Amino acid sequence: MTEQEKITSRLRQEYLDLLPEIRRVLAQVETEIRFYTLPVLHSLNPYEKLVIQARVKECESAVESLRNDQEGKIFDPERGEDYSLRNLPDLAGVRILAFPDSRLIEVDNVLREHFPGWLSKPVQNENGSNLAPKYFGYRNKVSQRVRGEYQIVPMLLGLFWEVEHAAMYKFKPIANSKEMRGLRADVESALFRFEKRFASFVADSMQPSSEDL
Amino acid sequence: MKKEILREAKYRFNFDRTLYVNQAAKKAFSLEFVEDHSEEELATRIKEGASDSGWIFYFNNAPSDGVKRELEKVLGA
Repeated sequence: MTEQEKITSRLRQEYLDLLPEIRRVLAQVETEIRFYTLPVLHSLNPYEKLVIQARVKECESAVESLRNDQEGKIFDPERGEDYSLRNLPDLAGVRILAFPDSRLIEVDNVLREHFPGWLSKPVQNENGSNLAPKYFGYRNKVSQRVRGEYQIVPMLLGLFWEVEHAAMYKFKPIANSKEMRGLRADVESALFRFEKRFASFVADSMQPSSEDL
Repeated sequence: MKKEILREAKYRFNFDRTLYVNQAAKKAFSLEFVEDHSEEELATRIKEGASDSGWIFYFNNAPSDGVKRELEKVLGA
């Protein structure tokens, strides 16, 4: 067994050890988020949407994430014991898809009140612009080893990512090519602008006209 | 453009390791190093002479001997 395989094997074992806690953290965070956003859900207009998705990060994905954090995408055999999946912030993750943008902001504000100590690390595009709020932290009563994460994503962007990530995961060289990165950035930018503009159109249409006054 | 500089110097991107690699010169730059250093710095490093004793890796955080060994195995002697 190579050094890389030994480290990977130990991390897989750690994953199995953590899995019951990951599931508990996910259940806790998902339930809290559903509860806190219930008033928003019940006040949605027919064209507005709020969808909550929860997922446990899969073992191989977790190991790969940790490996991808290293320069050269390789574990250092001289510090093999230092690597731990506990360093990952997203073993238990909740994604909230919201449409339009005004609902995203509302949900973000509501959840910030209830997860005050969680750290912010927004999803960014290649230019460093924020696309979606994202937070991670502990729910200490449930686990002091596994962090939870939630992100609030503009719905059109989130649905695009679901399709795009699944397809591109299988074809990483293509996904990382200059052309595909450019196309992805174009789509993200277009969807992001659409959602922002739609929200401002709706806000404008809600303003009473001079004839109404 | 950094990518142009690397391409002209015959560095190819290794997607698995996210390294720019020149097999003939036995030199490799990590993506992080390329992103965090200027074009001038990059050009200077590219011009540096190759080592007689093996690969040279340009990383933000100097790789340990263990990492160098592992990468050398992957990239070829």
